[in-house]
Amino acid sequence: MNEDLVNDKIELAKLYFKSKSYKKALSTYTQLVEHIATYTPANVARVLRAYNLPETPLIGKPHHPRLSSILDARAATYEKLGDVSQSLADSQSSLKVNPLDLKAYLRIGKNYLKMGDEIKAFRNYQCGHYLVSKFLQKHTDYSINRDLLGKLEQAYSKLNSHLKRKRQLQTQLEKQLPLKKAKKSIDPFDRLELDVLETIFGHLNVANLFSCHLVCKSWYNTLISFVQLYQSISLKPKIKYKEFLNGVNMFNRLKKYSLSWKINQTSLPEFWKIIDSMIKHNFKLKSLEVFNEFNYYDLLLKLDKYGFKFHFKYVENLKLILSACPPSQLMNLFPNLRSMEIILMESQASPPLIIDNKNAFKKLISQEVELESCLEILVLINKNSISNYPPFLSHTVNLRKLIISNFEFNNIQHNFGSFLSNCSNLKYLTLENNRNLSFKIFLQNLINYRSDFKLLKLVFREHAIDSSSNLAEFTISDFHNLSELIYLDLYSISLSNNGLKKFLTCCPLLETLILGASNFIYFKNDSINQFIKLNLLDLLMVLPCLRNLSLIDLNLDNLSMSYFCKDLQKFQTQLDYLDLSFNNKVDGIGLLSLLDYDMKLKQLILDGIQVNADTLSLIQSRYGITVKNDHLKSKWRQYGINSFILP
Amino acid sequence: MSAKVVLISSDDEKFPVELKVAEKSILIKNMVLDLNPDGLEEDFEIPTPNVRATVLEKVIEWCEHHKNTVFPDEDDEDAKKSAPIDEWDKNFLKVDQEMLYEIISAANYLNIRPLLDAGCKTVAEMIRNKSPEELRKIFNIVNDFTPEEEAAIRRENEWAEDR
Repeated sequence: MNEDLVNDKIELAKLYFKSKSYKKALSTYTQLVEHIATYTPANVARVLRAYNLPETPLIGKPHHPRLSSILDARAATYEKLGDVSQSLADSQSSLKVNPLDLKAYLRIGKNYLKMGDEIKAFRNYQCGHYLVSKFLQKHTDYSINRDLLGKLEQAYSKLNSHLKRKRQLQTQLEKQLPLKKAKKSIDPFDRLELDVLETIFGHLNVANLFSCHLVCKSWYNTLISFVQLYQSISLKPKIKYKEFLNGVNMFNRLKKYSLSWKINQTSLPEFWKIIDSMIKHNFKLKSLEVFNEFNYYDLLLKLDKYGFKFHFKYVENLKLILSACPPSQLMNLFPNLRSMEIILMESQASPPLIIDNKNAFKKLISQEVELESCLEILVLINKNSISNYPPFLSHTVNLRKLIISNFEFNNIQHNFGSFLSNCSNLKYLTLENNRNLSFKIFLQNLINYRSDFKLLKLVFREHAIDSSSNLAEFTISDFHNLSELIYLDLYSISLSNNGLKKFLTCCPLLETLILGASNFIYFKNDSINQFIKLNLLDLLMVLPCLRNLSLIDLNLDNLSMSYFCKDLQKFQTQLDYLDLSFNNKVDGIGLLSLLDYDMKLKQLILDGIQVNADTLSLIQSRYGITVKNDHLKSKWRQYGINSFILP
Repeated sequence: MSAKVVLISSDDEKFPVELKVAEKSILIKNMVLDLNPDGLEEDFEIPTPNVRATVLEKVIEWCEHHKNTVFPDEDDEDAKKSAPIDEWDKNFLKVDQEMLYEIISAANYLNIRPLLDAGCKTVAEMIRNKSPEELRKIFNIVNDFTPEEEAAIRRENEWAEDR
């Protein structure tokens, strides 16, 4: 095939192409390409000479002068036949020998864009742009097809700005959707072991847990499986039965496990519906605190309805406000209590108790509570206006804390004595406002029944004091149960000055002493009467560990204060808390004379006393003492309130 | 130089550590005791196959800092629960969630109670007093409840006292 034939064939292929005979055009172009491929370098050189072209091009490899246009034409033919990849291959092989083939760059770019690959198209344009412009800088006299070059530049800059806009859009998008970018947020439930998750949620309260329930299904289901987390649940105040029912589903899932419940301020009918549902679902309660007053017989009737099959044997902690209740029966109902706190209310006339399941009831009531009852805390407060005898429970060997308030003790003092003698672990005892139980009788009981407990805290406040005792009939060794006391509250006590002094010598470890409202205890003051008066020194000498001293409502006056000052100076004391409330004859002058010693006092309580505000701030700043003064307060702590705090 | 414990991370990086530091991990402490009853005579290699090098490095940093710290009694759950997070630990755990979870898992696996506790408390603090929506945002979670399911759970929550 000579060069004329090559040119003729090219013309033929062009005609085929124009007449849309693409297959014929393709085969002709392919013949040409294959033909040219057979050329030796010498043949190529000869042809180049014939075309008046240099044998080695300024750039690229020596090639047949028509090769680029043949390849481009075949690439165009491939395009028409829909074979983009073959078209790309032809353009690329042209560029290999002729890097200045502008048509090839344009065609490659076009085809990549057709394929949706903007990045490859861009790289191709960029490559052509740099190569050609660098070449032209070097060879300024080279004639290039300006038209095609312009098209290449245009395609390059157009795609460049398009991609730039796209990038900007992307960063904006990422800014608006930080989650997609920050992979830092990860669901802990996907990463952490179950026991670790349980520890984590163990730090959160029920309200927080409930918030977590609403996050997603996996949180909800996993959390619900951590039954330990839901052990202590307080029903919300004034809960409605309907609201309670909504929670029953959850209780049911948890009911194998012990629950702690607090029921508070709910109306009585609603309360009984809740109790009914609780019995029906057989919940295991560990703790039951009901701050609604209810009738004990109604509780029995509820249990009767279910044949006394439900029991409270898991309950360890019980707080109830009951009317018509014999607490000894409660011990049968709740046989495993550790703590029982009962307020007995006025009984309304209730209809006679009619029990259907008599045998079951009898069995329940008569069953022996285990000899070693685990009861540790017993609080009994009588709010009846009529006098009630306190129930003395048997088998209370493990009792550590006992509070009995507002009961009648007439003729049963000895029962109380024998009851106490069983409680060898008793540490905290409060007896408050009980009728016919004077301090002297109490001490006599301790001796008669040879109790062997050692109290740490004793609160004894008598109901009414009409005479005083000097404890002359006792010796100090009689008070061995009290020799380790560190807290003693004798607000309202029937002791004389001498009785008090004698008693205090038996408790040398005392850190806190509260005295008040006693008609027979007199500290030195300005008033004149026949009694021998107490010095503060008398107390300080026998109580070397004393840190907190309250002397309430004891007719102290300004003169007492200066006596106190002298005594405090005489005796090195650790006293840092002093309460002088309701000694209303004390004023600023007295206080200033009190503090005129080398004192370590940190707190001074002056409720119910009128003191000038300037004097108070002077005391605070000069002596560095915290002073509390509520002069409107009308009464110091009242019976029953300190020992059983209602919500 | 006394013999060291050489911890090997999951990606095969070796960390020579003083015995006193490594012993903060009860797992390692017991392993050393069991396998070297006469005390360490030469370097003792322990692979930690599920702890990455970057995490292991952090855990060792913690052990190093606390090598002389005496931690309160193990058994006293209540005291541990109520104690606030140690200031140093708080800063130490200011890392991204991924790292935090990995430190917690490593502490759990290596049995380093105080580090585990500090980690758990840190996550608990991230959760405390947050609304469900806030929690989803914090942990990148999609709400997969239907409105009906969500309403049912809300009702379930109604009976408890809000505290």
